[in-house]
Amino acid sequence: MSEDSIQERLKYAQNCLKRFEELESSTTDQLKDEVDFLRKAVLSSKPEIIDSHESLRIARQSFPRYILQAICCLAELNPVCLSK
Amino acid sequence: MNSVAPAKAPTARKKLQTSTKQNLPPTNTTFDPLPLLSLNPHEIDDEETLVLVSAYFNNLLRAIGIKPKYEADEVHLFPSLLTKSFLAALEAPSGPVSWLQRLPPQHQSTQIDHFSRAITKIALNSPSPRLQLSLRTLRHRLALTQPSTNIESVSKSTFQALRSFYAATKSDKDAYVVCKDVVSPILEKIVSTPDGARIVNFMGLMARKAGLLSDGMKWNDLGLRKCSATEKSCNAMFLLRNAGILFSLSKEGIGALWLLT
Repeated sequence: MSEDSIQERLKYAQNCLKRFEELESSTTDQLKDEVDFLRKAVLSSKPEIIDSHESLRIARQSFPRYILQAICCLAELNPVCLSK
Repeated sequence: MNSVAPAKAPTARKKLQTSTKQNLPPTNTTFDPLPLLSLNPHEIDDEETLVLVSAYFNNLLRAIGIKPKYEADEVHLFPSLLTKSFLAALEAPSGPVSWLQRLPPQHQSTQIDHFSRAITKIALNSPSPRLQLSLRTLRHRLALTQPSTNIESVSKSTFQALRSFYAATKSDKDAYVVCKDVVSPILEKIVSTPDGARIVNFMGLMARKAGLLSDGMKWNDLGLRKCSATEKSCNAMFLLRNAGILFSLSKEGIGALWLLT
């Protein structure tokens, strides 16, 4: 896969994480899983891959912030109701 | 006076039977289906022959499907091998599926209907999830050749069948490979329906679980291409999944993606 192609996919994913508040609460269950998968993938990414692809290296630095933002958004969309 | 009986001549002529039937050359009692299979439906003008051959296939299939003993004896010994052989026989170049597909349109619909009933019976009697899935999707594949078929109900049924098979299969990789094989021939026709989109999503998830990340990315890309721009959460799901895969791939995996694009 070309560097441009990787960069394009990462850019779309980043935009998506930034705009989580626009999503409907009814569809967030699967998205929660995907955000979690991405979080784990970013944290456990292999150094040799990150070093050989600049766009992945840059995304690895910026993504955690946006992932956290998306998780907060998901929490707002699905508030936990405390019952007695 | 001793009378000596004349010795029988070795070339004595056989007594000619009086019945016409008895004078016919002896026939092999084993029924050989090959002459039927080699018939090309387009070369047959006789409607009765077409119906006869199709009925032959259906009877043969029913005979296999309704014999629990056959299944108990054979399937448990070599379940995978037998299932594969049976499916290969159905799909063989001169097998029943090929025969049905070559039938003239005026006969095709009725014969596909009869054939579908026969394979439904087999699927219901079979303990093999693989056979159940393959026969169900084969039935759908044939139905999709008919203009009156409701594509949405086919997509829904296919999605249910894939999920049932996945639930009954221990290995994620085995499940994915079988599901991919059975869904690929009908994918183009069902992908635009709501359940078709769910199938694409399901296949993407299954590929990822099976560790086939580049395959997963292909399913996600297909999902993105088919998903409407207004379905934000659907698009978001595919985009995030692809990004996650990019971070999870090995060096060889990225190389393989290079080859694919």
